Amino acid sequence: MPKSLVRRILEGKPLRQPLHTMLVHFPIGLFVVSLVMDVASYFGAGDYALFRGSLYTLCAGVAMGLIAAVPGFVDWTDIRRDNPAKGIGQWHMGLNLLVLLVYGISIIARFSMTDPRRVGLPLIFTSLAAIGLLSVSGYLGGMMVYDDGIGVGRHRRRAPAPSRTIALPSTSAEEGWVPIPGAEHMEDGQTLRLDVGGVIIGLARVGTAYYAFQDFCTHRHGPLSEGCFMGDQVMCPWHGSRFDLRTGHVTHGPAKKDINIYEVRNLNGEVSVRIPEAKVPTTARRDSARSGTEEREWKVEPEDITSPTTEQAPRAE
Amino acid sequence: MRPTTPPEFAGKLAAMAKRLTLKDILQGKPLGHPLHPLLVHLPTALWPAALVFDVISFARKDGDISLTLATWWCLLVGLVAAAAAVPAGIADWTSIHRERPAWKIGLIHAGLNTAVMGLVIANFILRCIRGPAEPSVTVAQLTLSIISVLLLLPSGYLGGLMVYDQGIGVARTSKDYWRRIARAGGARV
Repeated sequence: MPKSLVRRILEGKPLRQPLHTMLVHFPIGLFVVSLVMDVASYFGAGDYALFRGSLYTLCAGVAMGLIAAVPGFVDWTDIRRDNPAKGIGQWHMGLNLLVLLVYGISIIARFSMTDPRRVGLPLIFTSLAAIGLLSVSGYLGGMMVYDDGIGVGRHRRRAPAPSRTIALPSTSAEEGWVPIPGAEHMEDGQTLRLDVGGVIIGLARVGTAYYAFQDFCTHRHGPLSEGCFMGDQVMCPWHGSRFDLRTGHVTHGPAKKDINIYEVRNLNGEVSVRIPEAKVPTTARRDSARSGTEEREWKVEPEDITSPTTEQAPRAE
Repeated sequence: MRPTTPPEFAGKLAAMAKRLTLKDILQGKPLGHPLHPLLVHLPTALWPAALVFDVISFARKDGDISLTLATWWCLLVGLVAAAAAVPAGIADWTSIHRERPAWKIGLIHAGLNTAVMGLVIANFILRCIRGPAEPSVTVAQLTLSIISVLLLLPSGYLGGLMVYDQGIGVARTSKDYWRRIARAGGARV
């Protein structure tokens, strides 16, 4: 099976939703019910069945947790490096692995009990602590989806999302035109996220045309460089607002305001973009640290141009 | 919810507490995330898990009462969480504009979940009548478990579509954070 197909399946694209978030229901639910059964066993009359039932749910929870880790990791690799969710994802992964480790030890301890009739307080507190960690981790997972929109609308795209924001100093501009090194190698449907002198823009190649536009939707500011491109329109991955890439006009709600678009030219393979100075806010340089762009690097590297060669242009599904 | 400086956070909390309505609480505003998807982890996981325990119990017929007991607890804990998830889900649904596809998806999702809830309650009552720790699951109980899971899976799928395809609840609380980033990045907001 081609690598890109495996990736597509692990990301849940054929299902139009991430696989990881479907699978994580199981460890969360099973660990909680196991704790409830442990507490019932502690206050009960010493019931072998209850102890055993709790152990079954724990084993099932750990197994499902390990399965869920695989698509979760794949999802994480897909997050843009300067997105706050990238760091959150690391904590989420670390905590989850810790929780699985704690439950693994708990399971071994339960199997090696000589009188398995009642779960003792140490095991109950271990489970409580693990549920505490799991809650924090689950909350972080929720942040990634509901704050940063990770996995939302991703299935409408075939090309991968930009892996980082490429900072291009506007000082390299010649009559306002900032060259984008390597952009001529972009594949159809591929996008770059650029920081040109503090202005964050998305650059997309659709067919033979290049479009440059503000990377933020005007509705809830979703990343348009991770959106879906249909002809000369872009669709925001989060709530499906659509904009005309030639004029910036909204063609479909929920967004009400138009986006900024920027001039792009392709001179003998050298793609450049022009950002009118008037649109550069004076605070942009200072605040660009908050948007987490990397100031030092400004060259487009081969990794940015890697696009699935076998895949077609993105389509609306 | 994004971390802010402690005084700013305390101020926000105080201001929020004054303005909070029941709908806000049900939508998970104090939490910073929708409450409904958080609560549904339990029934979504536990009712299929209960079915798995039932199937093993039915297939083995060796009178392992820990399996039927595990099912009983899975059904119970799932029901408690589901009961809490219903008002939260309705609150989220009332915020969806009627012309959006998610409105109809939500309606089907709610209908399926109502049917599932009914079946699980019936299943749970049957098990309580016979006692939670029976040596083996009956055909009636197993059938109820199978039908409820068969309805639950498409319903959960529709719920997932509302979030990951339609963006319901996405950037509801973080839109101010992203607006600041967008404005700093020279975007029209």
